[in-house]
Amino acid sequence: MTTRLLKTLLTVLALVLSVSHANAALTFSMDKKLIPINAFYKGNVLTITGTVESGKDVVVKITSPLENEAFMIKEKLYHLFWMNKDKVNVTNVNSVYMLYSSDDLDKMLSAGERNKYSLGYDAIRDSAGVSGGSPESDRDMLFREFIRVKEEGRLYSVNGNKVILMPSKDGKNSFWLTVSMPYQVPIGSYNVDVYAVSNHSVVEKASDEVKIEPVGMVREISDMAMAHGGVYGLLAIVIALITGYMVTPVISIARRIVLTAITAPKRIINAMNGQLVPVPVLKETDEVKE
Amino acid sequence: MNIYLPVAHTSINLMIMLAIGTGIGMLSGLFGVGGGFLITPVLMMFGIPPTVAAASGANQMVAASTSATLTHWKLGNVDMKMGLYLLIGSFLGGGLGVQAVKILNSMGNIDFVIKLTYVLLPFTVGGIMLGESLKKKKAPGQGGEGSARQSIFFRLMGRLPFQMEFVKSGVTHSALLPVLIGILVGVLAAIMGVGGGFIMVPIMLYILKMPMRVIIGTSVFQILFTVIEVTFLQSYTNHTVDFVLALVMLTGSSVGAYVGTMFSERLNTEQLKVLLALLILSVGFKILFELMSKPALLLAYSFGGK
Repeated sequence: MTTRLLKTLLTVLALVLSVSHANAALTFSMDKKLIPINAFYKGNVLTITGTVESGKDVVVKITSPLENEAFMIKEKLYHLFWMNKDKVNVTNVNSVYMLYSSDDLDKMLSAGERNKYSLGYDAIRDSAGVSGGSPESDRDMLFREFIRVKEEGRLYSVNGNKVILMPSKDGKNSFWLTVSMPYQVPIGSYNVDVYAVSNHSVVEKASDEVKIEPVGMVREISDMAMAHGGVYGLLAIVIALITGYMVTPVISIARRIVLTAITAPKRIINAMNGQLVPVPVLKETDEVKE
Repeated sequence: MNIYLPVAHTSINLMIMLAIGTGIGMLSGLFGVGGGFLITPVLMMFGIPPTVAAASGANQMVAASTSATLTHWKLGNVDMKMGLYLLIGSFLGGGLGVQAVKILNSMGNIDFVIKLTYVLLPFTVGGIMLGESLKKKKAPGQGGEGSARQSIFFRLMGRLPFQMEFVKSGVTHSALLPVLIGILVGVLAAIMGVGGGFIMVPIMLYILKMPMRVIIGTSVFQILFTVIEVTFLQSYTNHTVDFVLALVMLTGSSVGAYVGTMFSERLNTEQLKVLLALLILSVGFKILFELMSKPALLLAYSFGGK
């Protein structure tokens, strides 16, 4: 009896799981899961593609983990100079926040849903803690300045109508998004969350992760500077000394070569005409006195 | 072409950085200043964090100063004896300055003090230099009231113990004088995060009465040792020296320093003084303008401030 009941339960569970899988209409993939920072890195482009049930909109959110950040607010002192004055703490925020949607975010989602999934600057403002500054500092003004600092540093952006939806097959749409990851985005792991939206609500969510990491020489130098500061410093000094020592003779030789090259055709022509022209000699002021 | 800086964690345009390095190197060779008071603000303009800008700037100045010192050495412009006394003072002053920075930091006033120093000092130094040069142009050979006041000052200096002759500079001073000047420059250099050339040059000119060409050679010699010390300490304690940035800058600055030194041989002393005074004054005006204008962003990242 017990065995039969167990078998029935397992069958029902398998059925539920298979139905659930069949309903997992939101899928996505990224063209890279690791963005390598090499010597010539100037940012990279991340391409996200996927499928979603037709009639649904898509929101893509790329974020770093939540943390607390500290700032200084500038105020005019003595009616003369603008200086950093008081500390401002912004808590429970992402250092990096990039949001892309297939339509205007405010039209797609209700305020409650935006707050629930932390979608958009209003949602961040409601969940973040802003404290400090002078007693008369306006919290909303401080938050606006926080967003401006982040946008200026290319770490925050909210972009509507950037996710492109295209009709596909089986009642599904394909979606496609290219994300420019500027070099200002720091080394670390970033969550990539994709939301399917219908009737002003999030109906499905899928997540993955992308990493930004230094590789090769960049990694070697960065690690050495952090782990062996003394040796790194000595090496930096020795190389600078050698460069400084080498540059004078190297430039002198280069000058001689250039001067010789400039006068060579004239000397050849004169030699062919039977005239002797001396090799150019640098003036006393040009050459370093020994 | 862009390259990525492994310590600053930012990407820069190689050609622009080479050009900046060359320009700053030229100033080093031309005026005997290390360029520290220009490097940090310029690098910050290109998005380099202030701490990395100051430390990497010191590293690149090692190369520029080496090149300039060697060239001036061969031209016979370095007064070793004077340079060593100044160095003793600047090392002592550097230590005192670091302590002053610590105290000011704990009081929360360091930012204001640094910026105010950057305004007051260039105006004082540059103003005096420009004024003296213009006075000489107007009335060459005239002494007057100023020289009477100067003579009292120099008589007092003449009574200090340990008087000795500095043959290369052709002056006689107490050994205490360059040591005391070195201490003053060391303290200011530590507070301002620079090699101290733009303070040292006018002091050598108006107080030590050294000839301009020996001043430049001796100044770059003294700067070389100061920036070596700063580079090592910054690497060891703060890990803020970006060697790749320094390498790019020093490639440009070494060439620039050589060219600058050659130019300095062709310009006359008065022209050099006026040009240096204008350069120092323009830095002061720029910082004063920045301090008085409303900034574009009212928040700035805090790096362990108050």
